[in-house]
Amino acid sequence: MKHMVIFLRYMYRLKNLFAIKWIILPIFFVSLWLFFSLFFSSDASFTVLQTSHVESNQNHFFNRRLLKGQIVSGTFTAKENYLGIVSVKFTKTRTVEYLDEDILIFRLKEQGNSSWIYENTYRSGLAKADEYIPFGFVPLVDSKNKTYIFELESLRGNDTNALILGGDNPIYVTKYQFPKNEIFNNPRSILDFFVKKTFTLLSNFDLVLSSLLYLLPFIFYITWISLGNTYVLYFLKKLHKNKKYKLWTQRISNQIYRSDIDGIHNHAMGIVYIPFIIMLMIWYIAFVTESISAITIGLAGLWVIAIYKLDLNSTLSYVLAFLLVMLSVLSIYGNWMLSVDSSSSLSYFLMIIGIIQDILETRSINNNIKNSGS
Amino acid sequence: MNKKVLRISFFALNVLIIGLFFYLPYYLFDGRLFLGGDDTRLYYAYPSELLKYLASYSWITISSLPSNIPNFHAIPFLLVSVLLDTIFQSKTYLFNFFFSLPFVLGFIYFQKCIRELLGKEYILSLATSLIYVLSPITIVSHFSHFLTPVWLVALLPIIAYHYVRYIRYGTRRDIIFAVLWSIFLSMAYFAIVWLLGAIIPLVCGAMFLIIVGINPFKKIVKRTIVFVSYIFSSQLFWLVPFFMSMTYKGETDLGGKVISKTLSDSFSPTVLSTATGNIIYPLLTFYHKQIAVDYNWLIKDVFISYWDHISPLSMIYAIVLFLGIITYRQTIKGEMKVLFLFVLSAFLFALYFFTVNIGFLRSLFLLFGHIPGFSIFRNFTDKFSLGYIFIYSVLLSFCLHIIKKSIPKLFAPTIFLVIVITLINFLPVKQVINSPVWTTKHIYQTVNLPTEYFEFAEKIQSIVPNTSNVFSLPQNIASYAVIVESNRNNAYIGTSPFKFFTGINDLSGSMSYPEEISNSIRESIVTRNYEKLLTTLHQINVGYVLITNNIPDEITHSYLFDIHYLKFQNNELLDSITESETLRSANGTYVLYTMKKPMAVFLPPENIEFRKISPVKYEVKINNIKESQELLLKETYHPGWRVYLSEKQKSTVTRHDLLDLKYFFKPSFFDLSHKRSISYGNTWTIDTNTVLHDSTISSYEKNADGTVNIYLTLFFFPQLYFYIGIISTVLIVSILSLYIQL
Repeated sequence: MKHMVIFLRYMYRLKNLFAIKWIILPIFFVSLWLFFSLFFSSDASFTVLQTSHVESNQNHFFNRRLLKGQIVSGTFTAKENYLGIVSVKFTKTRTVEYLDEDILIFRLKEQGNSSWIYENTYRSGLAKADEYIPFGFVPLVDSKNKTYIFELESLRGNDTNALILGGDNPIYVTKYQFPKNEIFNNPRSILDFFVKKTFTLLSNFDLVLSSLLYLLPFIFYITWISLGNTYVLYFLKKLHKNKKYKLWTQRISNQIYRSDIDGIHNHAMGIVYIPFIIMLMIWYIAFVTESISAITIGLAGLWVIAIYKLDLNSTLSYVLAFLLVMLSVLSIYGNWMLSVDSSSSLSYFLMIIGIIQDILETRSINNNIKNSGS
Repeated sequence: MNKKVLRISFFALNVLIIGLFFYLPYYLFDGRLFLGGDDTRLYYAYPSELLKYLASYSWITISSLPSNIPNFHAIPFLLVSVLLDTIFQSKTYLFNFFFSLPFVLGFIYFQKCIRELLGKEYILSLATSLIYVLSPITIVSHFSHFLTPVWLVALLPIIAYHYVRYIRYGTRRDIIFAVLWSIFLSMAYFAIVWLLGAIIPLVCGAMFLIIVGINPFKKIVKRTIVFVSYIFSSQLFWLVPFFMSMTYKGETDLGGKVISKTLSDSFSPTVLSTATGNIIYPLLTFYHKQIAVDYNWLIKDVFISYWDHISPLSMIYAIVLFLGIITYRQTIKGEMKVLFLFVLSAFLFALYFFTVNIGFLRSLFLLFGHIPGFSIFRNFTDKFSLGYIFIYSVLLSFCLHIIKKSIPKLFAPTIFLVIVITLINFLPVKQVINSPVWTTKHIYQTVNLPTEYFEFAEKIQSIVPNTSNVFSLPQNIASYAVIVESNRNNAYIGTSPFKFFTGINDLSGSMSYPEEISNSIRESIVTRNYEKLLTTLHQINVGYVLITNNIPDEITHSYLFDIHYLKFQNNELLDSITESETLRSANGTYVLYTMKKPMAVFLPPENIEFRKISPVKYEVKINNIKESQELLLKETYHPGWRVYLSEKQKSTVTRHDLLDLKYFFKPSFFDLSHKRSISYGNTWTIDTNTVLHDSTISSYEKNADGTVNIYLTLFFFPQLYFYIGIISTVLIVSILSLYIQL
């Protein structure tokens, strides 16, 4: 806290817009992301910390099918006290009638002990495609650094109702339910918990992805100030002096830009910023297997900023939408490992953006005609 | 000269295509009838029977206990069908003609509509009208089921054409044609949800333009209101009873169903489980493949074996679309540009509603589920499919028109490719339409109903009173009948047609009853509590049991039957609830038994005499009442049933339905005592004092022992709204005709 106060005093003394624009506001937006992610984005409550576990010799889980009598077991060392939940990932399952469901036994014990600490039965109907089933028990107060073994046994698994374990990491997640009075005991315990909670968040890729929605204000802000920044412009103007580059950009400029004003600025920015967004889109389609609303909104938002700041024509939105549709068709036909849902969603939003541009343009033309007539 | 040759060629091409459309059902069904399903499709082969027993009454009982869903919308269509039936003298010709008609009308009028919008674009309009009627979306969602919404394929372009002409020229002729077509195809308007599926994207598109600053409708509001008013008025004959039926709070009221909690609760789960596709397949004019895969629909096999291999060819539609969008600014101006933006906006809404699974827009669609009544769109891929393909085809017409102007060299090859690829996509039509029944491999729904069935039905009419219900075995999971041809591979599988051929209602499956009664019957059968079963069946007015003996194992093991439940529907059950065999068909396929407990539609039977005049009217005489007596009518409870005092019974009763309008002005009696029976039915407490004091007519006679005989009429009041609707329609159409003449 002391250091924080010193830092803020220093900033205040600077009385410099640069500091507010480039340091304070970005920190504020990142904090906002962290705050909302910790409170709203986590799939467990705020007082829960979680640790992910991956496939290993001790934890052989990938794509295993649980038929009657078969047992799968996992071994892990608890990172914290208050171990209360083990969540295991299952892959897509077939829905069967309630009476035909499999029954699973979940057991947990400390390594070296012969007796089980906890044992209970669960129905296979709890499992959903690519989701974790939580097996909860009374939190173990002094679990930290102790090694535990858990087992899952199928009682009625057959060809139709058997569950299949997940095929990607993390294969299971352990969760630690901290009492509130322990977290809020003193400032240090609060800070410690926040740090651990942040690590929990950052160590889980799915959680980070789902929390990207809260990072959008930061991304939009940085994009906004970057596009008008004189230092960036200085670099781009230098680039623009290159004759070959200039000729090439001017050829396509008529198709891309709505007006000729501030040509250097727009062309130079466009040649950097547009490919940047396109690359982000390609990354999203190629490497993020699911369609994530936050990323889709983010990319569409970045595109809207580009249109506004660079005065882009709707043609570019439509061309990009068309290319994404073609990519999707080819991906379906060629069985490419691309996320067709993501590319088609992006394509749709680009079409929406394009038509809004067109309508606004038509409206302004109509207004101009009216005004000149009157 | 060249123009003349082109016109003749174009006309010849149209004639050829229309000829092929008329030939199509002969190719698809090999001379059989494509009957069955929820709508039965019997409209197109047996119109007289349907007109007689179904269409004229709002209180319908088709293989179920009565439900208050009016059927008047089918009357004009059935009247025309009856006329054609007498001309054709062949059920096959008649059915096949009606199967081809939506294709033909849709094809012709879509072209006319496009030419009205874009000028003399003959070949272009032909290409896009082929997309409209032959695209896999149209075939899968409409022609493969051939339910009543299929008539919207014809009606949408017809109305659009006359609307555009009326807006443009203000000719009254277009109103009268639109009204006449609307009356003939009023059946299509009854598919109101599908109609809304087309209207909602168009309205959203218009609102979108208005919100962002362009109002394309300022100049056309007045004419639009006039046009829509006439169309609306032409439908009053069924709209009046339809809307009035929603105001009743009976056991099966339609309004209650639309906003019922059960329906709204099922909205989110249905949407979440079916919103799994994306916009790519619709852009290529294919139905969503993912839903077919998820639910193991038979078209999944068509995708795997055919459409998936040729899907890249369909990129031509996306290319045309985007070329049009990218180049339109250089080509079209003014009102045409605004019209294009309107169609494009409507298209984007239609694409969204037909797909839903577009990022966060899926969550937005789930929020719409909170709007009362929006739950009817839970099967959005079905409800919005026609609207989508209609708007998409119109948009493609615009885009081709733009390409023709902006890149003329590209136009001819593009049109050629569009036509060829549309036809290539259409090739597996037989596999899509005439596919085996779901969960079977060798059972087809094309059938010629066996003579044995008709002969049996005819005999039944003389044995079973029309006030009795028949309990069919084996019971299925719907309210279907299974009527199998002798080859055992072709069968009628759909809502039981027993009522149409006999006038008597049968109860054939779990959906024939309200849930409570259905559960009670099932429980009694499974627990072998036959006494309880007899009581339940007696309460719902069952007097006979019908056994069908030739249902193939492949059908009993299909989704249509609960195999566990089927085990208990055996001879032990039959022996326990029936008294004797009453009638056996020629080959023993159908057997009718009399129930053990005698049946009576009115209780108590001892002192009640009655005559069923029509499904909505009973004449009743209660003998020897002392002071008061309870009267029970074993029809599903509905507040619309009313008791009137009537004159002493005449010896003969003739039916004059329109004269029933007098009940509007007659006072009804015992309304306060009308209530739902604890078991099933409507009860009134008939009080002699009321009759003696209030009766202005001679509706009673005193007996020597001081008791009274009372004459009553039980009438289903909502029927009157149909007569009012008919009068309204006739009046308005007559006024319109006069208006046109002037």
